[in-house]
Amino acid sequence: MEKNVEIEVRNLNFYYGETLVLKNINLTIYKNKVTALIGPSGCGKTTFLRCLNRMHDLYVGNRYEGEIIFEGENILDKNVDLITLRSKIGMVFQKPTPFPMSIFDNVAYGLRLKGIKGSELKERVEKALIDAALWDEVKDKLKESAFSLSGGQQQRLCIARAIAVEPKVLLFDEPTSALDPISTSKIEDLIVKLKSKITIVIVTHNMQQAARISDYTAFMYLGELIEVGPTEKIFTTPEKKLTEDYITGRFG
Amino acid sequence: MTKRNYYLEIIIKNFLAFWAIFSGFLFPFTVFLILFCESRLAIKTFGIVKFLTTTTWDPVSETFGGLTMLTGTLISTFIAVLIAAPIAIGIAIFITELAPSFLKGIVISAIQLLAAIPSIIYGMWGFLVLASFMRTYIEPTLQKIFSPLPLLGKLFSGTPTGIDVLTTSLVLSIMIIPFMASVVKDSFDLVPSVMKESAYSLGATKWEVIKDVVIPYTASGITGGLVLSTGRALGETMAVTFLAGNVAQIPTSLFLPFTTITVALANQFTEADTPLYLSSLFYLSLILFVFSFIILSFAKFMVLRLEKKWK
Amino acid sequence: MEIKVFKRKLINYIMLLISFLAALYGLLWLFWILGTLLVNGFKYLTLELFLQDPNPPGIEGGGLKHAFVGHFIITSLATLIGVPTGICAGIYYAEYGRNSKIFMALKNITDIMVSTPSIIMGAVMYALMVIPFKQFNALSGIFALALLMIPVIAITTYEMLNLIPDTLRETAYALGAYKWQIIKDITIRAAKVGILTGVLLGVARISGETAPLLFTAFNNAYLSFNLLKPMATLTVTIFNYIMGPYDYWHKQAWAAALFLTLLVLVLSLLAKTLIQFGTFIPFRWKIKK
Repeated sequence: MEKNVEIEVRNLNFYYGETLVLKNINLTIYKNKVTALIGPSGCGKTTFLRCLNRMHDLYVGNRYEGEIIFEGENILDKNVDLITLRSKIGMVFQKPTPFPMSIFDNVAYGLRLKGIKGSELKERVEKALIDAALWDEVKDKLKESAFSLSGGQQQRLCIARAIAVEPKVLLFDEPTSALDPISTSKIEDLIVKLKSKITIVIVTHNMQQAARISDYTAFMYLGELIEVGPTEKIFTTPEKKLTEDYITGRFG
Repeated sequence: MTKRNYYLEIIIKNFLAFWAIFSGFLFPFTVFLILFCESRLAIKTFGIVKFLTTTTWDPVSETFGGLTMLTGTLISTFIAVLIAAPIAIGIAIFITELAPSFLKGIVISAIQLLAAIPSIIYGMWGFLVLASFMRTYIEPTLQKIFSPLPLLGKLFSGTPTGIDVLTTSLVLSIMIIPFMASVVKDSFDLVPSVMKESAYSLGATKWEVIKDVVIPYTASGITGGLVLSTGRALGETMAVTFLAGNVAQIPTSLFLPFTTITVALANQFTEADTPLYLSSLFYLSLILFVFSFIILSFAKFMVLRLEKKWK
Repeated sequence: MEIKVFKRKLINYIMLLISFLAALYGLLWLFWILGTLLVNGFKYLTLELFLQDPNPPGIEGGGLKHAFVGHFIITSLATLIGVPTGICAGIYYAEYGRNSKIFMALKNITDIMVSTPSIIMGAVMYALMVIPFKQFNALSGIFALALLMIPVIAITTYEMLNLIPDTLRETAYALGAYKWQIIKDITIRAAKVGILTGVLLGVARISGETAPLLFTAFNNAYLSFNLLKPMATLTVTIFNYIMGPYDYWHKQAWAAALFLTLLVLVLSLLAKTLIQFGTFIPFRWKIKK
């Protein structure tokens, strides 16, 4: 595998029951870059994202075919340890989902699962909150309930929680769709800052967001990967007509 | 024509309001009032503290004290909830997180069936079937295991008859498991999947997600269900009447017969031949009503307060 | 790292196994109880049991006609009193009382009364109707059961009506309907199935009650239709027979218990199936002008 490739997706097919939902996806995710997945509703971008950390395994009736190569292994293999995988490929969801605990405990959660405690725990929690641009706002109220934070702050808390375990990849599933414009721009800045340490894959239905923050953009339609390339190219000189139609707003 | 509708509106509203006030106020208040009035003689004769701390219950000398009944009620309820709570939570976990879809429906239906069985059936089954089983197999074995132990051993002393604290509490616990399990299950169902997925995506195992996210999130529901079940167990009559043994003593061992407020009421209401005797029974009813009302109010209060906290 | 993960997975497996055992534990009791009921009761569930009056104590044979009839009379009359009352209260809580702190408090009290010990109702009716009448009578038992039913029906009605979205009511208001018309023609109709389910569950519950009848309706060795005299019921009869010395009494009690359990189970299952298949039965809008 090339040195700057984080994840290599080869011939990925995904079945929900008997229905083929993702068709023959081939995609390269590059290290320390932001790759955006765009496309109209129902095109399968979230479904694809959830293949990357095997989230579909939580529910019955799902089936993967093909390969997703990460760290030299195919993570779709049955023998892969999902617990370890998910601490290396993390996820941030559409709606902020703070756990019913204090702010500190939220961020510490993933670390405690790994057995980290004491002063190392405190340091890593603080570092994660700093990296998530939330430390200044919460440093005096770490023991308070996470629900006392605003929506935008809660989402940054979820990001802090996810980066505390120092994953290699962070998956974002429309992370700002439930937030106001100010919180949205704060999180977008955060993502751009994070990419120097973490590889990022973000699903968004907001094209402008993709254009603003991503290095690579993949356009999906009806379960297929139509086109992928450097963001600037996709948005200025797309190769496929379908891509161009979507970008210019002719549909979706 | 609008005038007619207007008056109809007022009449109907007040009519409905009356029944609302009846069921929410007049009814409970009247119950309290009647129980209180009928207990007046006993309250005057024995007072409050004395009645609650005397163990003597003698119709012949007309000395009545409710301590044996009160402790019996509390002990059997406490043990029943102790047994039922972890099992009910376990069942709820099984239903919501583990069971494949075909098994899920079966277990849910089984729980609902258990809940629907009338309490007298539990009582007679316990009396005719479980009691002798306990006497022959379970209780002697428990006695062999535990009686050599210093403190715990006392709890397992006495000749096992099957009609005792242990059997009663066991049957009580079976009776409250279905209700508790469905309350907990309903609470678990309210946890949003994204919340659970957030924990999974950090690399948590299924049990860790349940322990760290689902259960804390539903703590109010679980606690409310627990206290509610306690309230119900307090008032259970028929199962306890068959299995307690109706002996007015404070049991010092799990294998001794005892009595509860409901047992005393069920057995003695028709035997009370003097006004003081009857009044003392009403006094017991009053205590039971007030006590369970307080516990059930506490359950409601807890649920409402905790719900506000997490929203 | 590997060992830590293995330990966590082991704990996971053990805890999930324990919850499986818990479910098994519950199933065990169910099958044991129902099994014993079937084995002991089925043989004696004969036609004679339903059609014959009881023999004098000690003489084998006879039936429980008096108890079946009495149970039916008392349960149905209690339902007739308890259901309309409960529904009225529930309607008020849901449709008028939702914004009133006082009425929501009353609703909470009603909810508490749902779980109040049933024997208390027996004691209350004993004071209200048995002492003045100087004898046990069926009417006091009927009221005792009705009082048990009212909170149950009120709360289920309230909850079912609450499930109906406000937009339904708002649309009717926008068409110029009065509140009572909306309740009558739209809201109740939409919640019809849910309310019926609550009624079925309430009936199932009081059918199995014994304690409130023990010293109100008491018992009667003969078939009676007189509401002012004691009346036999299945539950109290079962209680007396089990506590009694005769073997044939025990057998008849098992049979009656089996019947009662089946009755209650059928009612409960009916209620649950209704809820699953019948919610939001299509209704017609009928605004009277």
